[in-house]
Amino acid sequence: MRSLCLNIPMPAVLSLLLTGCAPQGLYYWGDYESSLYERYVENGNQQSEAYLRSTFTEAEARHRKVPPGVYADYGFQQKDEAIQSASDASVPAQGDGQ
Amino acid sequence: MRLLLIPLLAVLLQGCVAPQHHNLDAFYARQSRSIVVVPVVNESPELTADSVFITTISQPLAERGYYVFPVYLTDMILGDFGLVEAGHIHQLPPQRFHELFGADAVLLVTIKDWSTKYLGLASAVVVSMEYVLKDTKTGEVLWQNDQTYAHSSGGGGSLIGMAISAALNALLTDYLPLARQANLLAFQPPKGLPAGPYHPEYQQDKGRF
Repeated sequence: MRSLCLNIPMPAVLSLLLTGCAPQGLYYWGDYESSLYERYVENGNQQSEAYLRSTFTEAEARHRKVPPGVYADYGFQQKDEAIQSASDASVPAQGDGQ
Repeated sequence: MRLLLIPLLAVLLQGCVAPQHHNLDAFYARQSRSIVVVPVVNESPELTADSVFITTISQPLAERGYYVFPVYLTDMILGDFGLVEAGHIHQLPPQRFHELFGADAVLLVTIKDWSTKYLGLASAVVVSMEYVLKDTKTGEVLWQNDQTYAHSSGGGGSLIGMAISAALNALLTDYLPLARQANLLAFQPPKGLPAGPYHPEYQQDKGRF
């Protein structure tokens, strides 16, 4: 008789009821929110790309849908890094020429 | 006496939400599929509130069945166009967000409150937001809602225990779970956002809103 829902807060129970007891959401979210938290709140970028990558690789492995925008976010991070490393590489070259 | 005031405070804070008459005619007529969430206006005294909040909005919105543009990428693109100040961005004609992103609708969120309130030795953590969804072709308001979520603590125990708990709460207040709950509630019926095209209940839940 002991309900599994005993330790779940009421809003969570309510939302479960409202979504027709769907066991899981439409998407697999993984570490997407962590990647946002790092960039917005901690003003860092160390783990963001890895968080984004693990979000869609794990979603794919579990045959779940990847949340909207995650691939785009990841691609943009990579583009930014490529530009950054290209400009880093060009700095000493300019120095050598002078 | 003080202890009795805490629930009262919570009731008052929850009661701040004005009753709204929902007219969803425009919402159903436009059938938005994609929503861009732009930088959040922060009217609270907590400087980091908008940064913390923006990390929590994508999931509950997308789970309602809409394509949600990646918020960080959105900020970068707006920044490239010199649009960095949230107050200014909210004043732009909504059509601008169709030009820039091709989004069907724009979600404008304003943080009204994000604070810890003290009453004697007890405390209540409060987050309060206003959500406005506008069509990016016509500029009309499609949907809006206000949501407050409060968590009070320190109502019982010894005076010293309460003092310690109030002090700890002030230091370690984590607004993230409150923001998540507020978003979840804000999008649920009867005042919430009807299911979008990626949700199994799309166009079947009109009776609940």
